[in-house]
Amino acid sequence: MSKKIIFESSEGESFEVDEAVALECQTIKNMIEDDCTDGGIPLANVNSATLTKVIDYCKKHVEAAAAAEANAGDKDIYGANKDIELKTWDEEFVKVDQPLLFDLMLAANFLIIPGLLDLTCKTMMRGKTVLQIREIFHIKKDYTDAEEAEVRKENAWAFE
Amino acid sequence: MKPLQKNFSDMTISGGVTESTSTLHRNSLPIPDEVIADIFSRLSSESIARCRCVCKLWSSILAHQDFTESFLTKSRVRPQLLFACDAGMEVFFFSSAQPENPKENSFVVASNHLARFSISDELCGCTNGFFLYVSKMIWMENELHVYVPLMCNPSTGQFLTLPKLKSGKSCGVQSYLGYEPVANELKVFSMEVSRVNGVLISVEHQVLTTEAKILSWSYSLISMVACFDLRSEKLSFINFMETFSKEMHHSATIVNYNGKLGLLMSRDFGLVHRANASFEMWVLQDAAKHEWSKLVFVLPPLWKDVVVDTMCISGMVGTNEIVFSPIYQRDPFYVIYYNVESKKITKVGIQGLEAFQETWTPLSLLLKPHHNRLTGNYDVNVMIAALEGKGKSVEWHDKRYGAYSINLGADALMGIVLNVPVTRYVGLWRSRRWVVMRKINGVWYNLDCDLTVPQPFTSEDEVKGFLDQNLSLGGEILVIKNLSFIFHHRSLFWSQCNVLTSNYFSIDPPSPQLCSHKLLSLSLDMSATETKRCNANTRPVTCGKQSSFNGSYGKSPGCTTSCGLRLPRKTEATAARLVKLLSCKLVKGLRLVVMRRKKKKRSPPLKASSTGRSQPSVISVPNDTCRSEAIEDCIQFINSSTSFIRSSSVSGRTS
Repeated sequence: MSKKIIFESSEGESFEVDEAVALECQTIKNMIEDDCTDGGIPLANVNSATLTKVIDYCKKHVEAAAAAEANAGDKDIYGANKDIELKTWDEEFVKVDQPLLFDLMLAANFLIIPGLLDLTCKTMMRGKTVLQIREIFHIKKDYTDAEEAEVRKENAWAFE
Repeated sequence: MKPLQKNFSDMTISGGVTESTSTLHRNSLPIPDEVIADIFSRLSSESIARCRCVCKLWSSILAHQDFTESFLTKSRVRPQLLFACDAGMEVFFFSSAQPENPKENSFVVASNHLARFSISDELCGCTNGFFLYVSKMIWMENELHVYVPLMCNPSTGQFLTLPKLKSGKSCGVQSYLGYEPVANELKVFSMEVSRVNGVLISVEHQVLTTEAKILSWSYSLISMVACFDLRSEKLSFINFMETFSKEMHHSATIVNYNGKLGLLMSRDFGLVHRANASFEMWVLQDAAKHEWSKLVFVLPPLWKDVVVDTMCISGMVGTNEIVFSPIYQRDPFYVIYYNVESKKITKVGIQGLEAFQETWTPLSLLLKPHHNRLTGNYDVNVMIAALEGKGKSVEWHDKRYGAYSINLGADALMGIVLNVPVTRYVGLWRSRRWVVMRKINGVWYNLDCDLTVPQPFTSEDEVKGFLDQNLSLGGEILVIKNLSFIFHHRSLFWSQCNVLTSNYFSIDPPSPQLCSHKLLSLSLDMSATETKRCNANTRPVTCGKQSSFNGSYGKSPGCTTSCGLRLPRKTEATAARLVKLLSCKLVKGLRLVVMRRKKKKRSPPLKASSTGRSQPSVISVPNDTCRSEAIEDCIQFINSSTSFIRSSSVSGRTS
């Protein structure tokens, strides 16, 4: 029986996870190494909904890593397609609404989960229009129309 | 990344501009600046371009040199494969991440679509995320230009046209792209090659940079590596002929092997077949002393199981991974990594190139414009592969120049293959067929297989007249030459999908420095058969984390070598090769295979190409495996046919 780690969300809800799963988070890993995880880890800036997702992510990636190790010899058409499977899973995973994605990103940043941070950062901007980006980041347009036309022209290749 | 962080601390990115809390943002936590910096650092080039349009601050950060450099640095840590797929009128670029720690089992990786450019004639090289190529034809300002050298950024699709050489010539110019890190300049080294009395000489060299000075040199070239020092703009040569065994005179792929110049070679014109057991690498140990050492890499037994096609050596990735790619695109497309330390191979499938599968149908033959047909078409590929396997080069003749521009007297000219439309059954069936013409003992013969005996032409003018007549009827001309400098033109015929190793990607537009170039002209008298590759590359394209060349090889970090691309330049004919080619001529037996087309692509495979008898070869191969076999067969056939070309073969069925 592996050791359990208890997380506490901003709402005060408790989440029990395997140590292996918690180790996916660099911050927690440090805490575990410093042996200061007794009595649960309060995560004041991560809400329950986000924490659930984060734990899902960590679980999946721990499982995938274990499966990859177990099936090292397993081959399909070209060999292990697990990578692709995991990528597909990741893609599905971040198909969430913008606020949750934002929270996930912040949580990943806070907990230091490089994979999740990378995933959410990329997803954050992918396929977004300039207008959408402005809205997400609360940025006021400071270009004049002419300037914007110019800068869009320079970067026209990204809008095809 | 450091300077970027500094930028962030200087300016607040999100603070201050916060309007009323948007419905999008339920969680009212402010976005920490470092998170934004994090986001920026992880973005794809496309997202970066969009973000530049968001506001002035973002634009100034994202277009800042510190940021673009950090982007390039990050990209350099994880080199990728760059694929150039020829699809008719355009070349599509794809990148594909390298699998991390490829083991013996195989992986599939997806490819990312990058940009597309007008059809390419020659891929010249890439460095620092930029790519140099010669566009076969391009529309600019409502005018059609041909053979324009372009520098492009495959990530963004932006390109810059390079000025023409002083001589105004655009054909037969070889260009190399290099990056000089100290001055942070990209330089293009161009070399014009002419054929004088059957001997190739390089007549004009130009360097396009901001700086210019005149250089001239005279060097007799046998077979050597030419180094162009980008900083001093001096050309030097390193001999390797002395140390080479006789049979090792074929084309090589230049790589960066642990900071030293490496030449990857195989005995079959740079190709590695299924049956091959090893290939070799020559490593330059001391440039001043022209010292080379030889490494033999033995292919594992798995090679035979994994490899179906003939492979070519694409280059080297990182410090120990050699990449092979099939000479033809297959479904699914794959590359093979060979680890020089463990001697193990890994097959890696590349997803996303399916759209560039050859989709040849009888209809496409009629409907598509000629280069599609030539490049995308199956049988001509077989023929070209077979011919090139025998050391012949195959060129599509640009028919706008007419037949008169073909130098029928050229020594290297081996023969001409015509592709002509035919109409049979009172116009009910339209098709195309191949007609071969060759010069035998000074007389040109028409070896049309519909004729009962070869028909001699009385003069070269008559040949040209005949060719022109066919051109006007919609014919196409393929010029077959003995392997020579022109060989590099094969790049796109050879393979529909070129794999270029380990490119990293830049988000800068192609260097504006080149706009303010000066041309310098160099007079050069080269009295030997070949100029070897002149490489004007400083940072070898083939290394992930690399330092500049410092070792025994480099005189300065900005010095020399290694355009890691193998494809464009298969040019090293050497004295030994010349001898071989001459002997080939003596044998005279090379018999062109007259290929006929079957009606349907999916028809049952006919036995590809006869085995040594002067029968018409009917090659129709429904799938890739058969095609590979056909090529092998065809090569065998050519090998075995030592007799004079007999009267044309029996005319086959009207396909």
